[in-house]
Amino acid sequence: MDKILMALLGVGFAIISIFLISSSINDMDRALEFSERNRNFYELDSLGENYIADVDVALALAEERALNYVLNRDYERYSHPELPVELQSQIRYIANSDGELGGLNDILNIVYLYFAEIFLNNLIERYETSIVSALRDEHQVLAVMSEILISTSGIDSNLSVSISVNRLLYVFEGNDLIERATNSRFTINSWVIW
Amino acid sequence: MIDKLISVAIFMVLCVFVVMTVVYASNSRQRVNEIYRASMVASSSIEEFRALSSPHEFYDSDFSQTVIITRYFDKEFNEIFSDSESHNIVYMQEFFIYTPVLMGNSEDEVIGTMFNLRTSIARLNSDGTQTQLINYSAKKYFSNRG
Repeated sequence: MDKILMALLGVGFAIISIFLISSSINDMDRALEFSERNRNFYELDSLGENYIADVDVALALAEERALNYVLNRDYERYSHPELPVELQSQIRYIANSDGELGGLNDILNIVYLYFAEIFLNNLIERYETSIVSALRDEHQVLAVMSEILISTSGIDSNLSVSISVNRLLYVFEGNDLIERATNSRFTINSWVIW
Repeated sequence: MIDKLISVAIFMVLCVFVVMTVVYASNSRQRVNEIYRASMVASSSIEEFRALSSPHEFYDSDFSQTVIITRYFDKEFNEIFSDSESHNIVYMQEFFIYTPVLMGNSEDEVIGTMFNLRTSIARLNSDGTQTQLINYSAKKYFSNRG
């Protein structure tokens, strides 16, 4: 009778122990999974911030090129080495229209958006997936929107960022630059982590 | 007589086993608790950091940075880890600033500022070593032109 009681007690203790250990391991796994998920979330978010910084650099570069183009009065020649001849022809047409389409600020934006599309497309090499779409009117780029899907190996989450490039607003008086009235180079349309 | 001694010995072994299991479960639960609380503290500080709408909320013009975040983080940490069990919990905050620069013709243009914040919370063991509970890092970019 004593032995049976002892055996039952032993089995009871063993069951309690197994239950306690498995419960503890389970809780620990969930806690680690929770913290890992948070860490991944912030890692993806940080990559998105890197992307935004790269976009800003690309657009600053495009703006600089466009501004130099206008200030050097390159639109009076067809010899700019980086712009397609068709685009230069369109720009020349606008320049000769004498303010019909907004004058120098329009020319600036045509060149700016052209370079913006090129430089944003170059970011594809640094990020896994990137889609740059441009609204075109023949050879002229009217607007640029960039959508990117960021995912890293080992992380079961993705980040989708969508930005649109804002037009520049420069004030000219004759051929002289008066001021830069642009507030921001781009707008973040969406920022989704799932 | 020998049978009884064996039974008592087995019973004692089982008791020790159960006590060890309970101690293990208790330690494990404490650690789980620490991880959740540490995660809450680190997430709070990082969410506050991510919600900043302007770099001026974050640093003074002379770049004496981290003041606001550190104060916030201190408060949150001290509230959540206020019990006597938490005296061996330590936190560390690392902070970096990076500014991409466009090399211009006349003068270099600082395009924006990238803020990096890393918060880690660890348990200080009795032997002087640290067991890391949480290590989160986040970035925040501010363009100079919006």
